[in-house]
Amino acid sequence: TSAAMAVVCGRGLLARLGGRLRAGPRTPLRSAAAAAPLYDVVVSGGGMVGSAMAAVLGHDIHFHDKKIALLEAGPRKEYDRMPDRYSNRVSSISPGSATLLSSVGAWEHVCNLRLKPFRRMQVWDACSEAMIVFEKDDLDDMGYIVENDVIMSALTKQLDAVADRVQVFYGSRAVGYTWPLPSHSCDTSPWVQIELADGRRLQTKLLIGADGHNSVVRKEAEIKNIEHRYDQSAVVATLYLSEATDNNVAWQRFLPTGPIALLPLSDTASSLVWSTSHEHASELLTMDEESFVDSINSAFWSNINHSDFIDTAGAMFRSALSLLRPSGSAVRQLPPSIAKAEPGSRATFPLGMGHATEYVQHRLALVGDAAHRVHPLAGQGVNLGFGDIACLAHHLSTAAFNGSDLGSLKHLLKFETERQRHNVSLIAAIDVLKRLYSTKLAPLVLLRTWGLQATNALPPVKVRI
Amino acid sequence: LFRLPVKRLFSTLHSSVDSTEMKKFQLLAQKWWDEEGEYSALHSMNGIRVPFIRDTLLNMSSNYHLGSPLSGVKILDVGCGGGLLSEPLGRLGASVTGIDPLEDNIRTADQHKSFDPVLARRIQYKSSSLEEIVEESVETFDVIVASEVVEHVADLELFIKCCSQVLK
Repeated sequence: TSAAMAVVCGRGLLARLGGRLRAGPRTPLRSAAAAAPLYDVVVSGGGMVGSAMAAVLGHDIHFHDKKIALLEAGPRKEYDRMPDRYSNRVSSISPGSATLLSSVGAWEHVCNLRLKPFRRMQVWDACSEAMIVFEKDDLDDMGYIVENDVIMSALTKQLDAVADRVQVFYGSRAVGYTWPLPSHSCDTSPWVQIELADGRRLQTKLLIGADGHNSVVRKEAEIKNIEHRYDQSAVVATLYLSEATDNNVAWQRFLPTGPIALLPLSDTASSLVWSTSHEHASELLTMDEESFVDSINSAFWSNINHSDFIDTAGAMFRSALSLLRPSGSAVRQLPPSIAKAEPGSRATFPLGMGHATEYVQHRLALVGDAAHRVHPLAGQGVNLGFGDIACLAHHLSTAAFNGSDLGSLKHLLKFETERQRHNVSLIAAIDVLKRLYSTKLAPLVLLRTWGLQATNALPPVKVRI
Repeated sequence: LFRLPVKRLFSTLHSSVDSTEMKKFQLLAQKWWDEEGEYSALHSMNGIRVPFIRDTLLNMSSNYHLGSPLSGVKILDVGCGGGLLSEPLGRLGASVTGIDPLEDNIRTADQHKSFDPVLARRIQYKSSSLEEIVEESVETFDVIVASEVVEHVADLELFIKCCSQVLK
């Protein structure tokens, strides 16, 4: 990843020198392209990030007279009320992301459907007593656990609200993109050409790729992607607690095989995200429910990975810390125990990390997982995407109010610089944490134990996280 | 200001157009729209001059059309070159007439706007000097913009007099 960061920083220097010309199909003669409808912005990919991107632009006053299109391969997703069973795909939504959703009127719908605020995060190691607790001093919500379907439904409603500006194409997959030259000449169209699976064509002044970590937009633009498959899969499931409780804490324990997390859904239910080896993930998926529940409880409660050496070293360090900062450690709470799992809610998917070396080219911007993919251990994935949206929308709004060509690299590069600066260190940190916690080797356990204890005791560092 | 009879203004001795300057721009007529080429400074300047023009006009009027701040405003862009300033003003909703004495510049400008139906509608380009326009356009425009132009003009006083005639 340090190599990755070096590549990213170096790339920035080349960019201004016209290093962004692509190979690939050229735009057709004007006569051929003339028939295809022309949009100001096309967002390719109607997941949470793509839909939010289209909604934010659609609600922007400087886009009042603009034409936006959203392309989504799947069907329309909208619920008036949620089914009784929780979906097994949930996201941890940060307060910043909630603000973004609120700005387009979507957060209100989320609150009316369902969500679970949490006040506290407890993160601890399986190999030692080290623990870190995050909570806000003012007892505000730290974040919200929301089913992905709820977010989609809320965004769909708010896209409907701006249907005069934003046209959503459901069941529409883009199969080909044709790129223009930066300073066009003669009769070639200056716009990006998009071909859909059903043969329809669109043209756009700016294409936003929000089509996930296997982004077709990114591949067709020949943007280099630094990617790495982790030797882990995530197992998700909906679980029921042994007893009802004020379920407002998010729990995460780092096992040598990977982190296991319990995210609160209600006072009686939580969502599981267990990152572990591929073999173990398959076992967890196929074992009977009782064994599955036992595995989960054992993962959270067992001290089998402790060693006396580490425990003693950890205790010594804690005493040393308490001399320096008497108030330095918080009370350790106990995670809930699980009684049963929702039938049919177990699923697994492979994990990886990815980062695009460029987020933008002439008339193109990538947002969300198309630009960066992270391990779920930090609950950051979709929040990074919402952060991308806030930044890109800000620059596009200014550009629109300045009468600029929306596809111009001038403001797109500003978006890229801002977001890469923010994202690269976070992505690298998450990757390092993943690797650091994937071992039982004493020196590394000691390092992370002391590191975690120190971080827990030092307010300035904790606040920044 | 008293009005000069229009025909007397048009003479090669007393013209606002400078022929040596024209030759210089002839060579660069194709380069207008390369954002990193010879005209990159003008492209960068749009970041300052367009908000300046926009905000000045917004302060003068009380109408505001959402998404189209210059809607209803008639602008004459004198010495429009390849249309670098006309296009942003057109995007903001203004009806723009861009004039430039060099035909190649007008050709470049026309060709560039032609791909965008909104701009094609809102902007008209004419190969003409200011004096020629005066004849047909007395008191037609709300605003005249002559950006990075007056330093290339031969007879400045004449230029200003013509400007005042086409303004409402």
